[in-house]
Amino acid sequence: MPATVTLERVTKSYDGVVAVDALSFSIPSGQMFGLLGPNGAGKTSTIRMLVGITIPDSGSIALFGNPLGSAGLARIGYLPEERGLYRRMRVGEQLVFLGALRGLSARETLARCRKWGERLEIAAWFERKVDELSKGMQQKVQFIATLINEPEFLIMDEPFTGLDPIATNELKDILADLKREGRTILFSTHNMAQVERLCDSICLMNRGRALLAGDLREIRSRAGKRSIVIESEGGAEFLKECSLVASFHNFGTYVEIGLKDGNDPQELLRLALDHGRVTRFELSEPSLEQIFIELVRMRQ
Amino acid sequence: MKLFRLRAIFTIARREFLDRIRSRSFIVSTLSLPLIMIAVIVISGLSVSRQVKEARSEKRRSLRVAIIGGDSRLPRMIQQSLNQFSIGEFAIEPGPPPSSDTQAQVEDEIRAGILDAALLLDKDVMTTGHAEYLARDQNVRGWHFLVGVSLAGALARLRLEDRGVAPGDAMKIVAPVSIQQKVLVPDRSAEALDAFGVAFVMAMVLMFSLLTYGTMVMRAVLDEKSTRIPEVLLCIVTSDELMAGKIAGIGCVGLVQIAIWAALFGALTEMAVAGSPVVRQLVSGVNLGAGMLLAFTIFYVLGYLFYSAMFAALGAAFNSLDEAQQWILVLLLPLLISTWMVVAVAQAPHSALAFTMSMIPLTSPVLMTTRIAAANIPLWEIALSIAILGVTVAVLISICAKIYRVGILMYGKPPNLREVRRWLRYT
Repeated sequence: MPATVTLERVTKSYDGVVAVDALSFSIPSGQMFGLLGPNGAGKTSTIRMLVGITIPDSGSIALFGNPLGSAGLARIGYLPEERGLYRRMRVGEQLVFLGALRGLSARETLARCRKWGERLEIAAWFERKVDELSKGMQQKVQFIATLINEPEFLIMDEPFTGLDPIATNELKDILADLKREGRTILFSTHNMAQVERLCDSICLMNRGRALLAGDLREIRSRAGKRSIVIESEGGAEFLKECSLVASFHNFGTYVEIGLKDGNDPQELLRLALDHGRVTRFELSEPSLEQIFIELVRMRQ
Repeated sequence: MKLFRLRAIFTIARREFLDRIRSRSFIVSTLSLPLIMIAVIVISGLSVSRQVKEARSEKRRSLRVAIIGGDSRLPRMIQQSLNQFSIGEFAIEPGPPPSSDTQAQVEDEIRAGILDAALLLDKDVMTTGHAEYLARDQNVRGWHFLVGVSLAGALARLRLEDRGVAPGDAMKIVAPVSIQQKVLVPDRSAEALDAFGVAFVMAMVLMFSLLTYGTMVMRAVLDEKSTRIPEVLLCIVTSDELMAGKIAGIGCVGLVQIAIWAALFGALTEMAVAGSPVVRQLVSGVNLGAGMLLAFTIFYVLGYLFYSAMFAALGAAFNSLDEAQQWILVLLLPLLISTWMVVAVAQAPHSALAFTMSMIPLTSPVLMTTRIAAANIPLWEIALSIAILGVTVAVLISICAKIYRVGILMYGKPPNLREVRRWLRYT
């Protein structure tokens, strides 16, 4: 499958601080790709280079098989994490303005935007000024603006922030449809659970470097079914100090545990039963969050 | 530059332009300024009209001057002479005969308002020509020159008569002369005052425009930065295009506003001139030629680019008006210095100081415009000033664009000078 974008040892520094360090990954066309990592991992710096806002200090970026240039950038749609709209402008005017910057006529822009506006139930608000809209509605407008040029490659930085569950689902459905149409989508987020549900492949970043990159299913199966989820009425906090346990993560209602190599999960179950009634005991592939934490711990 | 890029700059400029043109503050400021100026002209015109009318009114009492001492023929002669000037009514009356307390008595009468002035003639006035002039106030004191001229004429007549010249002949000998005036070099005499007025107004309009629209660019950048829209725009256009579009759009707002002001001012002045001859006289000196307007436009555009580029960089570097405050003052300083020097440059447009200041790009937009309005400036000086300013603007824009490019995406702690210098090296 041809790659929509390929990064080869891309590096970017600001004032001597390396924001992105020899980063390499490739996104196959038509895939949903997750760029993951904690705050300060270098995700936004990477995206800014991908959309041509900044230029790498070294390394190369190929977009649609060619070096990054205006022709390739015209086929990208970008939804930044920090949403930006002119507050005093009417929604329709704003979309026409952004369409004009993309070289589209007002009529063409409005025709495209109305289609999305109706689907997101915001078309009736096109005559309103942006500052009359709720934050969620503004987000929908921003999302429509990202699709104005019918991009082949969508880059979305934290796209679900500020959306209610219904709007989040609407957006997920749209993204799924866009993917079915063959568009490539890049998510940047620190919410790993979200990516697990949506993405085909990922790149896990920390301190500017890629800790892990590739097909999500492969990554998880490589990690093996070493993850145990326990829900216990007596609480499972005591297992944190247990000698069998390599990693421990408390999610409130349940805990996720990584066993040390060579240990039997049944041992852990017996220990848990000794402390109270166990309502859930599940052997699974480790979550992305757990993989990330373990990788960071290993590197340190 | 590719066509698409020019179209992007035009699209950004158009949005900036329409956003401001449609705003209530633009409509209010555009309409209010000429109305205020016309109101000031009409009110001052009406006030002058009233004073002229009062001066011509018969009810206005004439200037009463007592002549103390000297020949009894002198009061009549002085009155005849004064009335020949046709500048007011003089009631010359002989005062009491000179005595030791005459001066005190006359001074009391002047203070009481019975007299306006008194001319105390020396007892040997025919030989010495000496006299003392007592005036009620500064206004009356202003007549002393004409009173003196009249006294000199009257004394000359009497001296001639005393030497046997017939009174009629003596009067002919000292008859007043009539001089017709003609100005050959317009900017050095009467028209200099009009030119000074025009220069001053042009300089003020230019300074006000650079200040208003320069800071408007900065506020627009700050506003845009606070909405976080640059990140959306910068994946479609370059930061240079964004800055250029913003500056061009707001610059056009300025040109449109000045054009509307000029048109409104012209129309309202025409109406006021038609209704009042005094207003006609007040505005008669205002004569803007095509050359002046062209120079004004060139210096407005270059001066605007000069200051707006710096203000755009300033807006991009900071997050709020408060943070940028101290630097705004630094950028405004050259404009304030220009304003401070306008009077000196308009009064001596060919001086070395005026020449130097009109070549320095920081002050040349305002002060070269002032010089052009005040006098005939050699074309090479104007061309040199434009060339220096143009080159400086090109260099400055490239520096400011680099600061803008980095600053527009920077949030958090405001940068210091060293950081801004580092930004210039970023790609």
